[in-house]
Amino acid sequence: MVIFPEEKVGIVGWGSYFPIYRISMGELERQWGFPPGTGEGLGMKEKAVAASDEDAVTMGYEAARNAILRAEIDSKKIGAVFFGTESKPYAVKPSATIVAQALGITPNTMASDLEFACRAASEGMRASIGLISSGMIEFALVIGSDTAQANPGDILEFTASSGATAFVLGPKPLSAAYFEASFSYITDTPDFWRRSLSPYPLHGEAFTGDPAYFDHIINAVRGLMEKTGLRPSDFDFAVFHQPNGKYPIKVGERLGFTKEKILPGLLTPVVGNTYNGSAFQGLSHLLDTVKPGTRILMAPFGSGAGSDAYSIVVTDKVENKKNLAPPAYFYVNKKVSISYSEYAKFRKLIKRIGGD
Amino acid sequence: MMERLSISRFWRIKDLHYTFAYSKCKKCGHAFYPPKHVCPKCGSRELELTIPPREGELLSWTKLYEVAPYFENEKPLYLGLVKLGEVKIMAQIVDVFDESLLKEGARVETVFRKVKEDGNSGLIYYAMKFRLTSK
Repeated sequence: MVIFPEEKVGIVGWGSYFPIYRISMGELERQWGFPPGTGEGLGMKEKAVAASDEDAVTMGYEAARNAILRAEIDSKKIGAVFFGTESKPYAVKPSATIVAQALGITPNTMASDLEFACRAASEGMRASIGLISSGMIEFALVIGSDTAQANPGDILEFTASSGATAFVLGPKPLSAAYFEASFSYITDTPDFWRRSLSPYPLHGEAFTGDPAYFDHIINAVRGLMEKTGLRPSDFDFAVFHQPNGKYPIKVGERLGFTKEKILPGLLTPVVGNTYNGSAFQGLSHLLDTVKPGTRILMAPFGSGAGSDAYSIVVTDKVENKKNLAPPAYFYVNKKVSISYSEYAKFRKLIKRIGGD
Repeated sequence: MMERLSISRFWRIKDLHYTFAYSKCKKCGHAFYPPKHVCPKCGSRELELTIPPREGELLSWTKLYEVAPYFENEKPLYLGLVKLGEVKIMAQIVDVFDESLLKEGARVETVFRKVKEDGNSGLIYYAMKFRLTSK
């Protein structure tokens, strides 16, 4: 296979975080009068809910702290912080600077928030690969974090959840997994959007499927395959953007990946769609569990729309890093069920006067 | 209208809020939080800003039902006195779902959370809090 510039770069550290609170699909069905089984029809069991004092910044910090612990580097060596989110606490004022300051990365670093629906952090990953492979910087921190918004009562509320995953990227020789190649596929497709100052996104119902999610992921993955000569049978696992529990399996089938290669990296049924952390959480969990030599396909997707496909090979350095921070499933298993009332309070859906 | 925090004051001491950084006297070795310019024990100005470990020990805790207006969403509010390395720090304890686990000597860890928002258009203030270590 041809050697691509991506191969100079790898994942030096990884980390995830999910809040402890969970709301069940039954609770959402009862609240809004959906037929029983609506959530199950989406392949969902429950979703993670951020507490009142959590937001994309605090969750991103927690995931990034775990990633830096696994990277075993001085955080001052990080030369870029890319924060992918569509629920940034400030419309104007970067989340990346807050996280970079709190983690001791500042001041000699790049730092910015990226926006491309659920794919912004993946854009940060590809940009970081370029910066590191060119020698401009040695390490980059890429964070995907969202307290995903959904209009109360919308079908989106069954999946939109809260969580974050972060990666420290750096030179291949230090990496737990390295990139073999990557490929992006972007078009102007209006499948899902949120206007400025609107609190919740709108979506084009079924339009989010074939012309958006499926078309872009399939073209990104096929582009990667043509570029590299790799086939689905060359990959041990495939992680796609996980907006629900069903789409990743369907897109995998269309591309020729068996369910067995997709289910191990599918976390959305138990934590929900964490938007920018969605595909990332699958990769993070796989790095917690797989053996050296494993080849993983990852293809995040963002509405608007675009997808990136990555071929990632796990190295023997993964084993020593696994226990340096809590695995993704530590946070999946640490949970407390809440009612819709508590969910509404935590997500500030209840209108009150005073106390702001 | 809520009283707004001073932007410049918070900005000056943000590292303290973001890391629980404390002062250590280079002359007598006294460690104290929050940091000051002069050692309260020996009067020395030779102080070193030090970052404490992530994990500590819960010494005491209390529960507040009456809270300032901004914190009503988080009622009841748990406050803990924690031995974090060589200093004692009092801060909020979050994610308390089983109060019986809040015992003297329980292991706690630092966690980065929002502490306050200045209304809908003002600044958002972040700082370290504690939660029970679940390892």
